[in-house]
Amino acid sequence: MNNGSGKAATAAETYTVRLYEPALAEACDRFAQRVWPQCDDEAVSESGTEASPRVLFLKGPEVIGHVATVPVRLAVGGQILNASWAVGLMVLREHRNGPVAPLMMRKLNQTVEIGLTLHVEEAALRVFKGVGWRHLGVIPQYIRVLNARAFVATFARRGEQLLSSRSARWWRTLARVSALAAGLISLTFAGLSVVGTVRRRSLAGASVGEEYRFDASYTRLAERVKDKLGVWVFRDAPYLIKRYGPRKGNYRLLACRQGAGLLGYCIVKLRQFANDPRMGDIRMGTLVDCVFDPGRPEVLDLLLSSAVALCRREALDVVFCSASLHEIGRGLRRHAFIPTQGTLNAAFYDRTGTIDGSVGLEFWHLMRGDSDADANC
Amino acid sequence: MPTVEDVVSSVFGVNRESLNEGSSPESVEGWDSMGHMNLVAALEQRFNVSIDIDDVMQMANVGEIRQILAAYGVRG
Repeated sequence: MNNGSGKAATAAETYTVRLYEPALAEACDRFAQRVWPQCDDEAVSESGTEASPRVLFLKGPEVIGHVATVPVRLAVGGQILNASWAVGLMVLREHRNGPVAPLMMRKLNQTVEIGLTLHVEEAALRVFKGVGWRHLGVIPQYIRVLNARAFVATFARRGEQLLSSRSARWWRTLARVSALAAGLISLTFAGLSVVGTVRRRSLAGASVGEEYRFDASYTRLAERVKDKLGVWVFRDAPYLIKRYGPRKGNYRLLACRQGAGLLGYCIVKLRQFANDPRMGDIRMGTLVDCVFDPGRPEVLDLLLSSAVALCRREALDVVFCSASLHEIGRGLRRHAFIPTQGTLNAAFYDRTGTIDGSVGLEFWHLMRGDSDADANC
Repeated sequence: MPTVEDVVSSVFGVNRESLNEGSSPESVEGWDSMGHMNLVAALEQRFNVSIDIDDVMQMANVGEIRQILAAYGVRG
């Protein structure tokens, strides 16, 4: 093969793909300020150690592409493996048609043993698939509307903004009947809730309360259920503290206990949008994480009832949940959540060959709390 | 011996006759970042060369690819 000595002399710039090292910190900062001027994502900025490698694409001394990792432990049929979320895949706009992203991902493939990703963008998914990552599918998303009037108003306004002036006139006419639409939506969710009540199971002696710290009982719960949730990020107390501790203000933790024993928990993220082009002023709750013994659906029922009640107390308009695990989807339906179009693509790369590639997405336990997928919810 | 146009045509499934020196990611459907990598792999295989990353980054259109291959001693 003709290479090395026959290297072309046409290239005016020097390009390299390399792992982060402290000498590149300033170049990384310049890159981050350019592409994420508002971002203070610790998952990205803390990356770059041996445990959480960060791959950079350099043009001369400047970073033009970046992908970071967040180390996690993955439970696969009860076995605990080291894995990494791939986060912050970003290439400067002027280089996006080139091979920057695939070359960085190839380097990442050589660096991590098991890689995981949750991505909304189709372009990113094409790159992951192109370098050998297995696409698991789109994580199902569910919605429960609590304030139909606000929900209809948000989407009526959104429709008006998106349409041409002539179409918008029609839309405004249509929106005049929004009170009727809101009434119908309210009735639908109320009906679903009543139907769901019949199918829900009760759990004597257990109660759900809000908690403010992750103690050792969270690790014991993770150990108890680690071989029951298919493939999932092992959420022991140290993981949960690192994941949610620094951002606690945005999250509410609901724990289901029987005596001192922890049976399960659910984490709800609350967000008030303000003049958002897509979401208007809607107040939204997202169930970002939920762990319980899937053999005890009554625990999930109690957690979901409490989560919806919390969202009502907080005067939220709508509750979302993205969840891949079959049991959670069934539980959400019992609580009047209805399936909607999902947006989160899940994919993985396994250099160890440990994960059975034929295992479907419904046997993975993935939610918005995984990776940094709750950043925009 | 194949030409650069032959390889581009085969990788992106476009008509050979529609390609010219200026054909680029802007004008060829499928020539995105992953398509570019597939093209480089196909060029390396067809012309038996290993293309340096600096040169991969300079391959902005068919004409530039031909120039770069010439520097590797390949006439494409």
